[in-house]
Amino acid sequence: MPYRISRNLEASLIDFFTAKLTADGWNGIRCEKSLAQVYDGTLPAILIYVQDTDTEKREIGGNIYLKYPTVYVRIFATSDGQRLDLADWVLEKLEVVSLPYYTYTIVNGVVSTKILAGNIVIRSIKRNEKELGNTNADVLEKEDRYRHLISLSCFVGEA
Amino acid sequence: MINITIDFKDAHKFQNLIRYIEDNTVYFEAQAAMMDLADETVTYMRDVIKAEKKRPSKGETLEQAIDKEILNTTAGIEVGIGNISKLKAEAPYYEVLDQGGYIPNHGNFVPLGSFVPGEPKPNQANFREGQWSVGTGKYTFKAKRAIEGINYIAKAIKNLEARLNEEIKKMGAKLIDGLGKM
Repeated sequence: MPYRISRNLEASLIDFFTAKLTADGWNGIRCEKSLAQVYDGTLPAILIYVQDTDTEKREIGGNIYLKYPTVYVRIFATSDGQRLDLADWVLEKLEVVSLPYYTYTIVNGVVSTKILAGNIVIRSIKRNEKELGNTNADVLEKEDRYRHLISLSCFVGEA
Repeated sequence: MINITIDFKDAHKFQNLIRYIEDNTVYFEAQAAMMDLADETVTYMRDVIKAEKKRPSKGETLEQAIDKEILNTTAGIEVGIGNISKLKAEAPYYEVLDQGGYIPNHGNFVPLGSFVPGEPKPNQANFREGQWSVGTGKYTFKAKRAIEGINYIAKAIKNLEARLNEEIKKMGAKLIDGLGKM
């Protein structure tokens, strides 16, 4: 079964960040796509998922819509310094010339094909902030103590 | 604050523009529109929470705690939505419900205590005599699953952005119309 735009986008970004984490020598940082997976494992972790998608008609009278997904990159760090380092690192990595967009086909829960189909274009970074910042850190569980949110508005361009 | 820069090469026209704005034709209308938007945003935020919360039967504590506050009406308008002190007092988990995570310092717990006399080696003859003695403090159980955030703040901001753009377009059309009459 082929993935559609949202899941392709999530998987492409997870693959991109996973490769970059390894290349840049970050060890033991997981890239996940669901909140439950983050809380099931150990920190630090980066959660990447499509939060919602704005649509806009491509042309008057047409039936085709342009899609602008909002992607949330949530960082779950083990210290405040690590939170800031990872947030800066994520932003740094997003400044690349082209972020590859792949289309995935899944067979029996495993990736069967992964084809380069375009570029992910970042339109804007709307939120880049500490999460749960107004809640007393002493009462937060360790998973929630050093969280950071980066919100990206993007679209998929042709390769 | 929204800063707008207008570059007019014709000084006369620029003076007319200033006079037009000072006539308050658009200003009061804009102020009223911003107040309406604040009310609309509060309602929108409450609606998102109502629609997406997992246990609607548990009351509307958070919805009731979210309200607007007029902070300033001199030389502009400033409206705040959701007073943090009020939210902390009345709906302390407002952030976790928005962003997801574990409910902090909350949930089921067992009181800290000990079995008295708590002999290291139980005396078989007196095994019925030992009893649980409650001490001070508690040990909380961590919830099995974290709460999925419903992002009601981000959704309300997004809606506000869209509505604000619509209002600015309307105001802009009036301003251009007014300039044509100068």
